[in-house]
Amino acid sequence: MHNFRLWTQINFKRLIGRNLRSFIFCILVPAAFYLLFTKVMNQGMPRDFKQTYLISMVIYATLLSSVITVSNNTLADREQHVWRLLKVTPLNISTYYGSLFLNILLLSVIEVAAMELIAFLVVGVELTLSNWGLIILLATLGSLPLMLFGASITYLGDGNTVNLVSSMLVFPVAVLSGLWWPLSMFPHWLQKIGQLLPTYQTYDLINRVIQKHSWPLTSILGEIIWLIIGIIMILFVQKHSHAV
Amino acid sequence: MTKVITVQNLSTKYGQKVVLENLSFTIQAGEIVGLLGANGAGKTTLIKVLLGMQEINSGQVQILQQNPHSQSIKEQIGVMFQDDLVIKRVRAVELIELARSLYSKPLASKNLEQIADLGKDGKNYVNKLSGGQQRKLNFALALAGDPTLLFLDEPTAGMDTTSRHHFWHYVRQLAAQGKTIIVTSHYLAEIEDIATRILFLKNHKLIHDGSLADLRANFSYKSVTFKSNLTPQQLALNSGNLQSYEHNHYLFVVQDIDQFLQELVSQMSQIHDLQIKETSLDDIFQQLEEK
Repeated sequence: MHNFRLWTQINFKRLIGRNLRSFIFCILVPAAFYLLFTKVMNQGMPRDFKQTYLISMVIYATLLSSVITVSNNTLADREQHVWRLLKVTPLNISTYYGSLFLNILLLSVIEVAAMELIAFLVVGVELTLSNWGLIILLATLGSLPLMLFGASITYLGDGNTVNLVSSMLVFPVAVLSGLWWPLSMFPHWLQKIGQLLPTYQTYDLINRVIQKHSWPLTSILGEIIWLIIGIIMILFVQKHSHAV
Repeated sequence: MTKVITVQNLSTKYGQKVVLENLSFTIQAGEIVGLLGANGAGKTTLIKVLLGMQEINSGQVQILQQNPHSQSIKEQIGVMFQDDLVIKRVRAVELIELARSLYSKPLASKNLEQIADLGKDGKNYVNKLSGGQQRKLNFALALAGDPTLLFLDEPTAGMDTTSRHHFWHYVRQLAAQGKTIIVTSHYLAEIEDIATRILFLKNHKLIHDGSLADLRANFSYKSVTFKSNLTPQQLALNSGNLQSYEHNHYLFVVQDIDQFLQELVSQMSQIHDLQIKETSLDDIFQQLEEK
């Protein structure tokens, strides 16, 4: 337990406290999109657009930190020989990934809260306190399978491959799950694919909870299935990789 | 004596390329073993196999009487690799604490900071330390768990002379405590000073396993240098091999030094600056590599 606490503390310092550039990137990109579409290009948008687009951009922020930040940091750990500790010291994999993911979850909470602050102060979105809290909770939990994918990508090859795959995952997933533009703009068959994606499940879950006060079982089940797929994937690549 | 490492008929490949071929040896507790060989001979691969980081194709390997993959032996092993653990945005003292946190009975922080010779640089980020400081820090990290078995792979590469001297002084203290140490180094004189046994790898095979005295006995010769105005024909020395002759400077390699000196003594009045040197590990290394 002592080593988990210490690893978590030091991971906080190196991933968040001493890495402000990456931290700001994860907030600024979705915040810029949000302000652009709600304050500048807002002609003909539906009345609840500011609120639904907030949910989209919150999920986009967690997608960035969960896939890009996780894959970049685990790649750096591999290149800086941190993974070697897993082989030659008593450091176990649950401490390593557990402390890392806990920090990325915290990063997600901060990002979502920052987006909410922009939505409230600049864009004028009004929600109940419990709904603000539910967005933070559900968006953060929804990022768990994404973190597992981000960590799995690191096992695929060298730095170029990892960067390429993480970018090729993040941007199509963001577009296909309707985070940038409404899903209804796409052909029917593409909408069907988009609705299967984990980011859409999170979007659908938050949207329904906030707007209709119902907990959609299909989205919850979808999240759980993606979480299981993520766990299987990381265990598989970890077992079959010699990347140390 | 307790067997710390047992290797039997070990062979392993990278794809189709053989990297270790039919190696067998045992290492007892308290031995200090110098693992030698040219670049690419298989030294680092052998260390990786012993640490469970590299799969083997055939043979058996036991470390501390267990499988190298066993989690329970990791408390007792310390490793200093050729390439350092350097985590960005982490301070040197924090890295020491991280390493200590992994073991149930770690060495004291102050002790490790002293070994790493951090001085005022303890609060610096690890990636901002000099190469030599990073090596010393990684040595301290290898000792964090107070290991009984220590692997040192090219430990002094990048260290300055003073640091190297301090480093080997500390390794000698560890040896005196009865720790088993396996060390590779390109500075053969350092190995010569400390190793009680030499394993020599060539072309992925173990071609020598024994003490340095055995090695000297098998490859013993002396190098004799002197200056003389006499030509090699005039000298007419039969018992030594003339290695070089330039501007009246002679270098002979001699197996039977007594015989050689008897031949030389009759012409001693025309011999100057005579020097006789023992075979160094460097010389033996050259011989083994050229064989």
